[in-house]
Amino acid sequence: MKSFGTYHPLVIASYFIFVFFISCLSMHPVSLGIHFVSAVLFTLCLSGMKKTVRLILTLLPVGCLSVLMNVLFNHNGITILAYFPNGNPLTKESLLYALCAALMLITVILWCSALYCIMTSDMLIYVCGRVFPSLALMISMALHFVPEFCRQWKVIANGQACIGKNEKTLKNTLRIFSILITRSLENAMDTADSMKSRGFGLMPRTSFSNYIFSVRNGIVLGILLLLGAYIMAGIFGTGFCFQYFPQIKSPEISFYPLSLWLCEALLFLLPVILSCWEEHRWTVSQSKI
Amino acid sequence: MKNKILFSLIVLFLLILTFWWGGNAPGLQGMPTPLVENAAPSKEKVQADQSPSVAVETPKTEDANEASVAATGTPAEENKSTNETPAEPKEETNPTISESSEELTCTLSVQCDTVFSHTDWIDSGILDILPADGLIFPPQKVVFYEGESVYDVLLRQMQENRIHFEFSTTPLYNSIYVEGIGNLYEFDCGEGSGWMYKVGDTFPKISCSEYILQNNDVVRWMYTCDRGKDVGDTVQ
Repeated sequence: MKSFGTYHPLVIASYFIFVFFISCLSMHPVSLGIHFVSAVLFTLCLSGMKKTVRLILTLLPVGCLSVLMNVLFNHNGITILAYFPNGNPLTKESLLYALCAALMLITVILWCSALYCIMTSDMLIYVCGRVFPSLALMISMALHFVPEFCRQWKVIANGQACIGKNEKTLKNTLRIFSILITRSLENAMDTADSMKSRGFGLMPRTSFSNYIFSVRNGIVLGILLLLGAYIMAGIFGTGFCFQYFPQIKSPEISFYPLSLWLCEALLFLLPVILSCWEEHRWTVSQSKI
Repeated sequence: MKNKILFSLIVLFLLILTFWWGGNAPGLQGMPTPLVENAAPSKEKVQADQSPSVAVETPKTEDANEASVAATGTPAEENKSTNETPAEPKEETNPTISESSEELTCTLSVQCDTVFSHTDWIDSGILDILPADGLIFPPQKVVFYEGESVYDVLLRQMQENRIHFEFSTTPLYNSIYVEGIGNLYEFDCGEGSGWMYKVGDTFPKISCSEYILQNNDVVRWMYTCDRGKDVGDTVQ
């Protein structure tokens, strides 16, 4: 799966832009299912069974909270199931809508974690650096900040353990935290100084990157753009029509939405398909030797 | 410099687009009539701080209402010890008042026939579920207890008949705002649409939870598409 990370940043960026747009914009239950399954498959290929299960388990409470909030504040729908203590109804439609919205939320968070694994800060700066350089730098530094924080925490905790403060008391934890904050503030000063001394902010400035837009990148980008444009047309047209309120109503399933769902699955699973295909080619060429 | 001008132009364009989409544009969602200046939303949501400015032309009804609130408030609290609760489980909003035992009747109806003259403004999905004659709750005599408000009666009838009904509460003013009845919500049919209530011949300018009903009152809930003008409210 890491092989998708070797593609050109433009290809990766456009893939994720399409993925985020499509999974945020289409609320058809079938599409949501496709998005969720492909997000899980993507994460599975990327970080293995154990991590995926853990990620989904941590996301479940978020989903439950979102369902609860939606149901508490949205009472639309014709099928009344029960009444809340204050007198507002709980309806089947609002419940279903809440479930779908929660599924969408979880899917998008899964995609975010995938984006974080695939897209390095180097790529981010390459893609956005021309258009909004300072924002791109800030985003990449912010993304870098959390794992760096965790790493530093471990280093400091080990250091403290060496001088005999290895008990997990509140005092020791606070001590580690205080050291961590001091250290990161110092780091920020250092970073600023070093950037200034290397001429950050001067106008005639270039940045180096060794990404080459090869033929395979072109092919994949072409496929991405074609599929993405078709699905976007479906989203802004009538392809994903589904009515939640006031009653659940779905147009009859015809060829057009079916083709859209097929394209969605293809687009979303493109990296998985590519990596499987590459692995297959690798084993075939190995066995030929 | 060039970028800044471009940026502000884009922002301006987006704002215009948003307002257009938001329904102010004629022909899309909004009113073909010119907008009324300073028109306070004359739906039932007139809260305590707004009522003096809006209800200038109906000071009498308002005073009477406030007087009736004050009048029924104290004896109801005294009646608390009698413990004769009516067979209505959901009365959390105003328990002290509803415990008075005297059974009175009023006529209640909920109608939305104004929607059918603006069918191009409303979503077809909502139009499908509305009754053809526009009567969500046909006029009928209903029982209420002394000291109950318009809202109490509406809530009980809607729950008994399993008709959808959503409202929001402002605890500070103890006021209820009716958002939707029978899945027909405010703003569903143009910008000036929403639910209003009429007791007898007047549209009270106070929240429906503040209006205490008298015996044989005729309460009509009406859906307006034009800030009350199309249902006969002359006060703006």
